[in-house]
Amino acid sequence: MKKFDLLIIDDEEVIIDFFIKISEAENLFIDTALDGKHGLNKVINNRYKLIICDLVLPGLNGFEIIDEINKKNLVTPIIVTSGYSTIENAIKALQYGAIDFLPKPFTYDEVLCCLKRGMNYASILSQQVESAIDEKKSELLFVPCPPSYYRFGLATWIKIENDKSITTGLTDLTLRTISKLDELNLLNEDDIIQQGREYLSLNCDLGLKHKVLSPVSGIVTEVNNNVLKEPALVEKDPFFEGWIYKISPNNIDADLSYLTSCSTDRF
Amino acid sequence: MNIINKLGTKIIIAVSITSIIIIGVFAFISINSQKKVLLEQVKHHANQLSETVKNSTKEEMLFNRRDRIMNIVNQIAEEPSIFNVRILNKSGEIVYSNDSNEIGFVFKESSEPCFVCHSTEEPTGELEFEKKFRIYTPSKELPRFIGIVNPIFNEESCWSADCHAHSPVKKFLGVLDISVSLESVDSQISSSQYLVAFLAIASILSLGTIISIFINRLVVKPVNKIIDATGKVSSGDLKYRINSSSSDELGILSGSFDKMTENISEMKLKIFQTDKMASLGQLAAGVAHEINNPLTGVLTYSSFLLKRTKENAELASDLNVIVRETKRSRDIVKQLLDFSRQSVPKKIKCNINHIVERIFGITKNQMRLKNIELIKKLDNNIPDVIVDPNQIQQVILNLVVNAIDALEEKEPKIVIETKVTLLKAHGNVQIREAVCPSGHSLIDNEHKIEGMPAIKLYTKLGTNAGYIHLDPIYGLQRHHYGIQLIKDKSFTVHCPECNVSLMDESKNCPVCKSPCYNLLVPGKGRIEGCARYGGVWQKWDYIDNKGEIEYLIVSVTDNGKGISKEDLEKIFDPFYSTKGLKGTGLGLSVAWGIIENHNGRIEVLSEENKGTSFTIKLPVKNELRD
Repeated sequence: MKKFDLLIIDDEEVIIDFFIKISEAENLFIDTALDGKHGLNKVINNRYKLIICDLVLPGLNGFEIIDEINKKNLVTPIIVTSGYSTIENAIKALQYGAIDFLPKPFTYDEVLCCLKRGMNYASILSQQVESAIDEKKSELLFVPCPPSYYRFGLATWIKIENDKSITTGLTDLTLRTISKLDELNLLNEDDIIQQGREYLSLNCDLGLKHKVLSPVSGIVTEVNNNVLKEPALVEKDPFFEGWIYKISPNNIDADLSYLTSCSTDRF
Repeated sequence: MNIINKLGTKIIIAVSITSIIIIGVFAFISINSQKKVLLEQVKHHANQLSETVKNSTKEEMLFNRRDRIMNIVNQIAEEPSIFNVRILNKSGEIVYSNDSNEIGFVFKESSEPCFVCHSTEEPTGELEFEKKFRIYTPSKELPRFIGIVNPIFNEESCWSADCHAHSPVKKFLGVLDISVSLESVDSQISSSQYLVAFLAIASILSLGTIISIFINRLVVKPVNKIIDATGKVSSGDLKYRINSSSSDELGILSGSFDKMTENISEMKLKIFQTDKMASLGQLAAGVAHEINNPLTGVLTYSSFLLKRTKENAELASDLNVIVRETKRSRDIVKQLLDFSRQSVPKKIKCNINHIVERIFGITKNQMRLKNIELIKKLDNNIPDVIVDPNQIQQVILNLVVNAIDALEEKEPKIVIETKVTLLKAHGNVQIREAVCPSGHSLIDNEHKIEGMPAIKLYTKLGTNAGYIHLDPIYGLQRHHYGIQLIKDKSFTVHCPECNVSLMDESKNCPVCKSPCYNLLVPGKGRIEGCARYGGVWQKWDYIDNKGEIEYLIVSVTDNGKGISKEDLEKIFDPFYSTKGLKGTGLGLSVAWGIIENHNGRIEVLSEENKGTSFTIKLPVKNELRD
């Protein structure tokens, strides 16, 4: 069993080469696979901190690989990338448990940003595993979503209010994967948002922008001005005072089918 | 085609054979009866003659004046038609004859004049009328003769006469035998035989000719036209029409054929369109995957290089161009992908004015650059409508971008207007549901009129039956007829599923008194209409009682170069673009689809060099839509 930082599964050599280059620059130990079966074998036989997986592959496709990984209870976080970069694929990837969706073609910065978040997530996860083994080290690495909430992937949460409106925000886990939150780029009131499309982008160190995908479709009825004034509020209390938008949803029932109830898991 | 195999030839042969048989039998019977009549006349004549001779010689016999008898016999025999006159005694000896050589000749009982009576053992004495006669030909050169045998009975005067030549015991004294020539009768018969045969042949020939002319005109030519048309249509010429003016079965067949061709060509167009859309979807998916991968290579390496050459400003700016242009390509592929999966609208309540304002924001820079005067006529009191705001934004943005592209340099101007209009239900409301009394839906999702599922009815006119598709817009008459109907003739309609009649027996059209059909709209009353080909009357009380219906209107008008008439027909077709390489030709076809999904309509008015106006009509209230 070998240990790597990163596994990249993609049938395009040029993309593999690029990831090798970016890994060298970032000092990451990388392994590669050109098709689904090899990829899955490597995932099973070796240890990786993070997997980046294309969707359309010879042999097993991306979703099948994630399925297999989930079945084997392997906890390695996965970032899904695809040239067929539709909203449907993005939503489905997050629903399958991918931590992010990276649409092709991407720039160096987009990949770097995604990788950094992924590695941060991976390190949180490994710490969590360690703390589970050694109870002395037990500490709260991140605050999970309150049970009555729903999450979209691991990045955003929604809460259905009594008046059927939706309050949404970022999860604590997301915020922990970003080294520091300087500024939030938010939408305006009355803007239309759609599940799987850009919801907000986070400015953080190195001048990198993190794109976050929207958990629901609808119209933004209210933007939390407090977090615009003081982004740190989001980090302080992401699930209550640090909410981002209030949304009037289009079709919450359809959206919910892609969301995960927070009452059943530890995220 | 072999001449024997032709339909016309076959019919002519059949008719000719039939007429030959009928006329032949008729001629045979008529000649035979003529023969009979003539012969009968001759028999009567001969019988009369024989009786006359018998009576006129009786006296002379009694007085035994032999020379006088001879005289009478000779005198009678002078008549040319009479061949011979003989008187034979009981023993068969010729006693008197016009042919003196014969006198004294004795006939045997079996010989020709005697045979009639002596064929049986004992002569009966009395001779039936028919038995008196015999027809014979003495020799080949001579014509036929009819012989009449008249027995001379013994009477009291014969044995009481002075000569006492006969004893009273005898029953017969002899026979009078006269032979009459049948030459004139035979010639009459043969000439009438010729006449009848001639007439029969003439009538058979003329019958054949006349029938062949009619068959040619009424059957062969129209059938050939249909065969021609089938050939043309099957070889792909879907514009070919027979245009038959006849109203017989072949005319109806031609009409139905035309109708069928029309339907096929419409269907083909539709399939072609759907095919285009479907293949576009596949194409877009393929393009997205195939192009995005190499694009990824370009974008990753160029952005990577850009990172490493921050110090070299000149190189960085060049690389920036590559990154920027690759990002642009990425956006184009993304648009194509978005088009390939036109999703079901996610509708929410929203204000169209907000959407329009947002579009102003998006296009502001472009308009300023081109010095375009933007006139907003937004009605602030428009009600919220339930639409998919993303899709509606896409449609209006598309119209605005098209308007910007159409503008020319002189005083470019765009007017965007939103308002609410009341429109009559009649001519505007779509019939979305209709059922037969057994509950079968009459809406045919496979067959659309102007993009909307039509109402399918099984229709009968006389023995002709087929389907018609009624215009789903209440009050409009863009029906599709799948069968040949006759103008101003009324037809009956039935459920295509269970054939139950949809006619309303108790009601007639208030305009033309024709029968009416009556369709049930679940929860929304009934639609009645005139079942006459060409009838326009239609009534839907439920909708009429609701008064006029509110429509939200969004119009985008420019004073640009306008759209030509030919282009106007095609602008909503996918891939149709007048922008050359700048456009994909997808925008308006997508817009049409989106507005259609919102149960609205999109209309266009344009005049070349004056400008174009697109109008979107969306129903404000939901209840009439869903």
